[in-house]
Amino acid sequence: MVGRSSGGKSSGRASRNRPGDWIWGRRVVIETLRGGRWPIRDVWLSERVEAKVAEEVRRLADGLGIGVQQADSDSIRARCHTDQHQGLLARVGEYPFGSLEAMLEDAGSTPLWLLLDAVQDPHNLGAILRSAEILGVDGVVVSGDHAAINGHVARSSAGAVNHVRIARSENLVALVMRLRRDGVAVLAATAEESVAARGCDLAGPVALVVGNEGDGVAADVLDVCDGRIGIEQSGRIESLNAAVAAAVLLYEVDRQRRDAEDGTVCSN
Amino acid sequence: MLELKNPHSVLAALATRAGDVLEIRLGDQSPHGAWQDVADSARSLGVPVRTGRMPGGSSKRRDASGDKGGQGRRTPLAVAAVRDRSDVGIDELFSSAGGDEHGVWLALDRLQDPHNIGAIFRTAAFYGVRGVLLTTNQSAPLSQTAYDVASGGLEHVRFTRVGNLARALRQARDAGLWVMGTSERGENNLSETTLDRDWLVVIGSEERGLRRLTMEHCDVVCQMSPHGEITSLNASVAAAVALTVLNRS
Repeated sequence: MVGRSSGGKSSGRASRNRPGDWIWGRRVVIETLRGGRWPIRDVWLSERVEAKVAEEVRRLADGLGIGVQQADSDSIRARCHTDQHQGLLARVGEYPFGSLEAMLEDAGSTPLWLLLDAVQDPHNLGAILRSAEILGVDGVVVSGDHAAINGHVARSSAGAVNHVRIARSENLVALVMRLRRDGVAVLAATAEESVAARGCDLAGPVALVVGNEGDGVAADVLDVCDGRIGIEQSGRIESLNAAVAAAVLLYEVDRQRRDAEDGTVCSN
Repeated sequence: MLELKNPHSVLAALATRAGDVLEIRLGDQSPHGAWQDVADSARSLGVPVRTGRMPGGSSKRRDASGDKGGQGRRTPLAVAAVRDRSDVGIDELFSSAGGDEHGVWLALDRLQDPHNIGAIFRTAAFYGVRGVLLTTNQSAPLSQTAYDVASGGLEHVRFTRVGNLARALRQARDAGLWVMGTSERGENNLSETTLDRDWLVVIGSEERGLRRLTMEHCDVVCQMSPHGEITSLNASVAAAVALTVLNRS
């Protein structure tokens, strides 16, 4: 099991360097400072950071009343366990999920939601958040035994954890039924018994459900969805990586909305 | 030598080149799920299957191959010792170009992340990509992580590693392929690409995108992200979107 968020008990004293306590890399740290969403406790800066960037970091941290300390690359590496820190590290609090209610209420007339059922790989979760931001998703809902939003997720999201709306649901089945009552077509991404995305009308209000890497979308969730949506295979391997599948489907939604093409209604 | 930890990548290696699978080592618990399939398949092919406690040292070495940790930290249930797959010559990579059925090839320009390379091979196998060109300089190697993330994809798609990508792209064009770059600065819309030819799609590195010299060898450069945001799609996602669009015929 990939590390779940260990709850809101962090006291500011990270006795164990859990991945969730640190974010690293120039883009991620600076965007998190700018974003003002994810609370930062302090920032660590190595001498290899160029003066202009260091100055920007100090200015942003000052504005937020956050301390900046000088550190060498080795002590930064010892905390984030990777060489990809680019000399910048920050200690963060627990990731603040947005309110699901507020997110749903703010939707326009044709919302696009992405519901993630127990996506457990931090690289996948990060890549999905990045695609969601670029491809115009109105909000992402994580559910079940999902990867914690930590430094690895922040890194592979290329900073999207600071921009895209992310909420948590304790009951995905209830959420799916509610969205359907609100007129949203809820479609589960599955490899089996699915209708090809290009054959579905995705121009209206849509929620895509992407499942766990090993088990796919849970059966009780599948049961309440409007239908199953898939991607046509032409080669030797039968399934795509969860992040890739999510992006390909989101791209198709986006393409249909741009083209405003006619399509057949997807249901089964 | 690879120590593969994903049973699906091992099953694909057993199916395509069992002679390169040297040994399966199962933990002290009886295998289940896909590892049971691996054990059955290996035994029927005469590949040695050993059981017993897993040595703990092997998981530490992954950091050197670029695995970022943070996932898969558990002691693996089992591992398979598998020889690296060999490249094909560049002429062979492009040998099926110009046929009645058009194909798609990929070129990866200095990709740094073995997860991206693995994910791209998985997608490439899903779509039946004819071959993948990879750069050798400043590029992540085809490591255990890449094989395992590919989940069998690295066994089904041929590849050639080259030192000089610009020269390889010239050879691709000589073989009749059209070269498409992907970049947020691209001037063409990906979804309007004509499908009536063999395409080689070039994916740029995570940090720097396509190099200028690479761009000069492209017949077209397409934009992946229609919204023109500052951020661009992850390299493996960009490759998947391009392959999806080229597969729409």
